[in-house]
Amino acid sequence: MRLRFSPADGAVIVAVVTVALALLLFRGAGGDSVSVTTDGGTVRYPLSVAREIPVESAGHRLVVRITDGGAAIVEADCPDRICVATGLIRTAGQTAVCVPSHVIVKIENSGGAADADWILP
Amino acid sequence: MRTGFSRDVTRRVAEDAALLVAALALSYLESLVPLGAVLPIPGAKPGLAHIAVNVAASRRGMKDAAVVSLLRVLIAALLFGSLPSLLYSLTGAVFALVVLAACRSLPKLPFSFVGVSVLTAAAHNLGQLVAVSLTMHEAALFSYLPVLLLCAAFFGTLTGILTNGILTRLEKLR
Repeated sequence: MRLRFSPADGAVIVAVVTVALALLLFRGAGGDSVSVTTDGGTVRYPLSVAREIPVESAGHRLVVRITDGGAAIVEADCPDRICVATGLIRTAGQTAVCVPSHVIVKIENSGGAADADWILP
Repeated sequence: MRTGFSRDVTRRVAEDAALLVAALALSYLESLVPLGAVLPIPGAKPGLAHIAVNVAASRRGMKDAAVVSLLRVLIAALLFGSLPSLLYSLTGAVFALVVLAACRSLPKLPFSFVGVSVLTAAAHNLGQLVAVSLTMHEAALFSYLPVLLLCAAFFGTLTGILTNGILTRLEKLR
């Protein structure tokens, strides 16, 4: 196998970056609700009402905060705390995930509420 | 003295073991860096251990690369990783090995280990996402795919350049 950087290597890098950017462009903009999925199911909240939601899932405790038209996991007792570092999410399709506690916080556009267990006003 | 093992087998075991230890050392080094604070993406890692897998594939073959890769994932999870994430790492490693084998099976591959590493890194991330999505019953995680692919392009280039350099120097030693 070749051991020197060739133009084909550059082509592979460009191809992967292009696919990534194309996938990013397909994302919708602006969401009006947020779904919080835990071990116990999915609950959906509107982004227009600021609130703090304590969450328990898979033996972990988290706090989801809705502010400024977005949502964020602000507290978590999971080991890596990647979910907290994700920060505020606000565009449709964006997610903040805590893998150890199986929690998924996802920004959505209303209308697709069919899979939620609860919808809060 | 007769040991029952040919010199070739002994050499192979020794070389694979050395590469496995190198891969584990690189994994440990990575686990010390709190990358999650700077790059808050689940599953984003430099994947330096893959350099050892590449070297095993290049000098020995796919079987040796698979042994180094899978044992590294297993031992790293037991030593300094977490068992729940073992399944995700293992799926990622298998996806990466399939791509590595495909690259090696092409008789005239136009690109070097940079291209190979970018593709295997992308495959690893895809495998992780598939495993996490299946266990969490949630396809939303695929929204991380674009950022993970960008990471794969960056870190794959890094590990590819390092693999090229290391193999060039090893060739000279022969």
